[in-house]
Amino acid sequence: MPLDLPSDVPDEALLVLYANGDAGAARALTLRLAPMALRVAGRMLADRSEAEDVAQEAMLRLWRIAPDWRQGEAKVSTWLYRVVSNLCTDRLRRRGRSVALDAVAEPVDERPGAVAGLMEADRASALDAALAALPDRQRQAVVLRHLEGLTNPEIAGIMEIGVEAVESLTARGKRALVTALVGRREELGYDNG
Amino acid sequence: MTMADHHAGNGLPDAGDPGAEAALVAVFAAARAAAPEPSAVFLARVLADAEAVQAERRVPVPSRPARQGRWRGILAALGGWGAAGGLATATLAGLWLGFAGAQGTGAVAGLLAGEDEQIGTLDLIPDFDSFALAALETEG
Repeated sequence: MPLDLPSDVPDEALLVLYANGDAGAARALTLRLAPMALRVAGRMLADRSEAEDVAQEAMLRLWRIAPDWRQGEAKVSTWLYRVVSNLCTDRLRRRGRSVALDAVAEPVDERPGAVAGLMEADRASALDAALAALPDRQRQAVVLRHLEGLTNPEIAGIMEIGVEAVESLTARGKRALVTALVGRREELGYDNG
Repeated sequence: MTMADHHAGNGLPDAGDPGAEAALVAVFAAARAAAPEPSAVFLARVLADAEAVQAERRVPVPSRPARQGRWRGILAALGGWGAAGGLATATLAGLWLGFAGAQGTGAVAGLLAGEDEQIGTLDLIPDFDSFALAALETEG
């Protein structure tokens, strides 16, 4: 998928170009923003297929709002983070928290040797599983802060809460992650190895 | 400091380790680096949406064309409203002169002079005859 627009063109400018029918802007925005939307949705939902659906829906909303985008009011990325987060929250509510936890708790692979594979699992996949066990709001705050690298005020705007509430959510989330990762280490027999 | 520094190389934080926070930071970094790339199929779906929305907006909206009737063409040929106004004035003046001529200029003189017998006629085109004669003389 060729990118024929310079990478330093701001998202807002690309959105204006897109609204004016520029095909290159559509490609550039897709390459720039769709992966981000997919990343966040993937962390939130722990389901690749659902995450793709959510990311696509969020991007579709962006395409539709483009002609009415008001410059200077919000960053496009912040708006998209908020839409993705809300869509994920809706999905999590619909499918029920217990279903989500069950889905994550299932063994990844039951074939012989799978345990050995898990013992060699990298830290990233261990984190994914631990993240999936967090309460939704904690997971959202941790993902935005520590995996997407947003500032607390940005996260506060996305989650529509105060900065102090963000700090509280991320602190509790991190404590829970440490606990979960320790538990996973013991579950996987690291202490025995 | 890496996770390996905290727990015998397994990369997972120890809850009792005062460096657990730093260990978690390393886990976050590893997760960021391992973020899955979007598939080409997914990107194509998103781009197809983008292009479809653009195409919807490009559908020509039926709009009333600017009125280009016969009279507008004639008006343009005449030189616009200003010229048409002058032409209308001249036409009305010609009509009026025609009627006035048929009834004789005396009627006009009557309107203007009233009962004043000293003004018997009003020459609406003064020196017309003089000009005509001069032209005839020139030609001759």
